Amino acid sequence: MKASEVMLTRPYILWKDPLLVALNALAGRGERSPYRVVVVDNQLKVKGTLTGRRVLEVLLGLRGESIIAKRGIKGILREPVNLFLYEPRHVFLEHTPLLSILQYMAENSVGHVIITDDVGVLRGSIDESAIIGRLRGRSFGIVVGDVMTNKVFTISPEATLYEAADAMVGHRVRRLPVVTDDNLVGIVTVTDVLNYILAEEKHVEMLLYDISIEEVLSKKVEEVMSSTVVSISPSSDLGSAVDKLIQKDVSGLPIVSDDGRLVGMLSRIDVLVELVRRLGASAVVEAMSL
Amino acid sequence: MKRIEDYVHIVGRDEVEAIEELAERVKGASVVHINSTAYGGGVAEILKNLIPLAQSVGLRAEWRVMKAPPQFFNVTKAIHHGLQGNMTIEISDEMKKTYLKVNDENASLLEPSGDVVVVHDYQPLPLINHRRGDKWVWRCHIDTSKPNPRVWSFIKPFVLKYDAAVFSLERYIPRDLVGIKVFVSHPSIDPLSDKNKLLSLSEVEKVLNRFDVDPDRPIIGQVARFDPWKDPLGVIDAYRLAREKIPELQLLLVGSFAHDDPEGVEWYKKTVEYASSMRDVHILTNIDGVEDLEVNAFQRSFTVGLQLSTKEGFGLAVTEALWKGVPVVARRAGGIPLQVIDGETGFLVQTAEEAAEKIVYLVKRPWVARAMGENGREHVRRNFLITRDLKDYLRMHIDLVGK
Repeated sequence: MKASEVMLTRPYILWKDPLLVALNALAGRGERSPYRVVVVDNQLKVKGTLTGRRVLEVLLGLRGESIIAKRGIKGILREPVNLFLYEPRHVFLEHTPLLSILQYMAENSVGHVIITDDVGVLRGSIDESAIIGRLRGRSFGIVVGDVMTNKVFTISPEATLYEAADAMVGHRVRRLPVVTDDNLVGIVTVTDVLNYILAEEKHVEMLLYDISIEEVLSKKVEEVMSSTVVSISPSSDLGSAVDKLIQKDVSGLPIVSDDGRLVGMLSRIDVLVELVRRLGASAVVEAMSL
Repeated sequence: MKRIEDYVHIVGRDEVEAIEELAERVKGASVVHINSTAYGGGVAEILKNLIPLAQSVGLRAEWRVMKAPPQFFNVTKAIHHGLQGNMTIEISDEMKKTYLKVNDENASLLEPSGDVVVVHDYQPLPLINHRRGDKWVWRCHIDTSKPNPRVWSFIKPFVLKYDAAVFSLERYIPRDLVGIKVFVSHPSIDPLSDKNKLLSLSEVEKVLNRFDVDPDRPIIGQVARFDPWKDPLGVIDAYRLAREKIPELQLLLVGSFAHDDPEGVEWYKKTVEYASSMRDVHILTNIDGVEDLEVNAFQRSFTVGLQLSTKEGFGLAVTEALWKGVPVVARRAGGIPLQVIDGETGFLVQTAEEAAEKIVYLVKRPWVARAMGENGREHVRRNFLITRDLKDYLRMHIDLVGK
């Protein structure tokens, strides 16, 4: 199977675009807002990537502190994306076999690789969902509880969105399960926070008038979180988890025990790493082609 | 004198212009880098090349090296092992005292101040106690993903005093490190340094002849410090097995003794002893006159590069070999799986037996080795050159002190 067969063409932004454009791209109002965009120059040569978390870091004043000190949030939102992006990492040429790419993603727990032509022009991306999306409707004989991450950072529904954003940035995660007495009541993501900022014009205006981000994000988590959370039991087969991750188009699943307690999290990359580890990359590629 | 323009033919004009544009935002900023050794190991290697390049784009970059007695390096070696996950390490009060005292003395000697002070690794970490208003960054070059909790609890309070920390890989960031700005930047090699620049075939041959290595027979080798994590004895085991199939095979183990590595001599002796009964094993160091150019020539002569380390910060010796078009057989340590793409730029192995099997495969199929070598060189060009590293640094400087 060739890399081009699973490659996705996702939105990209230009490196000279202001950060405000990135905020729009990463918090689009469509069903599927990307967590990450590829940044290119005018010739579509890859210059890097930008994630929702990075934009959130800037808005919280944790990136670009010297610029914010001189020109405020308003100023930094007008700065080019180039100042904040991650240098291109995990770049592969379009003729690289999918098997090698898959092995690389699993070895390094990398959820996203960029595909270019010989001169560095963007052709597309491959992410975990493009891989595991082709493995739906199967049973792997692997129990979710054996693969999930046990240590999970959570937040209370009473916390403010600012506190949630700060925790996600601080712990370097893109989603936080919302819990009351160990029971899962919702989930809040980086994209939710960015969406919240963009959803109402006044929020962006507040930022442009240098109203503090703490004030902009003063709403309680429970008012913004998704309360219909897709979760799965630790005793389920990994195949069911794949189906849910893909059908519901979520990047991670909270793992909930029969008595409603949150016991772990399972992300798409956890699934990919485990399948390659247990079955081997060749078997996974073969299964993808069936 | 290094000039950024000299890199145009390697990374392209647009990349160089992108660097100059970023540099414009921090032109004139003074940046002081501090580490513990001027020679040997990856950190000194990076700084030696990065500082002049940063100067060439308008930063007032400097490199200062701390001075310390051998007992200090015994302490920091223990810290090193502890941070890399050796759970048996204990840092006694006496050791802590030595560690802090030497750093206090170095604070007066080095007078670290600038717009940005970048402290490399754990040896000079406590210099932060003497900060004077500048922006301080801790650049960690080792794998701290699962540190010994006792060692980490001693080290962590120093880290938290910094304005930012930089790790080589996302997964090296200790999970409980919260409350500090974190950057991730893969290390890099300089394609124009003596260690990596293009050499003529006659230059390579001259070096091989000088060290009695036969240029007419296949050569494999590992470039690494002599240290248990690099497993030099495992390399000899793999060679011994491969030689059963390819009797004419030669092995080069090339290393250097760094000032901050007290175990180097001991492990060098162990390695020499382990290989003592074998012919065609060449164990060479800076003491024998192996400098950067010689390492460059040796790597270019390899049919297969080896890196059987069980722990690595990143594995820049792998990057260097790949850049020279040499496929690498390596263990899955540190940043190696980012570089050795199994079956594409080399092979990832677990045991000496597996390594031997892949060595034989590649030596017997030069066309496969050549194709993998070409893939490896392109992979390094796209991901691990110093120009990318410089951009990471420039963005960090812009973040902290940009105009």
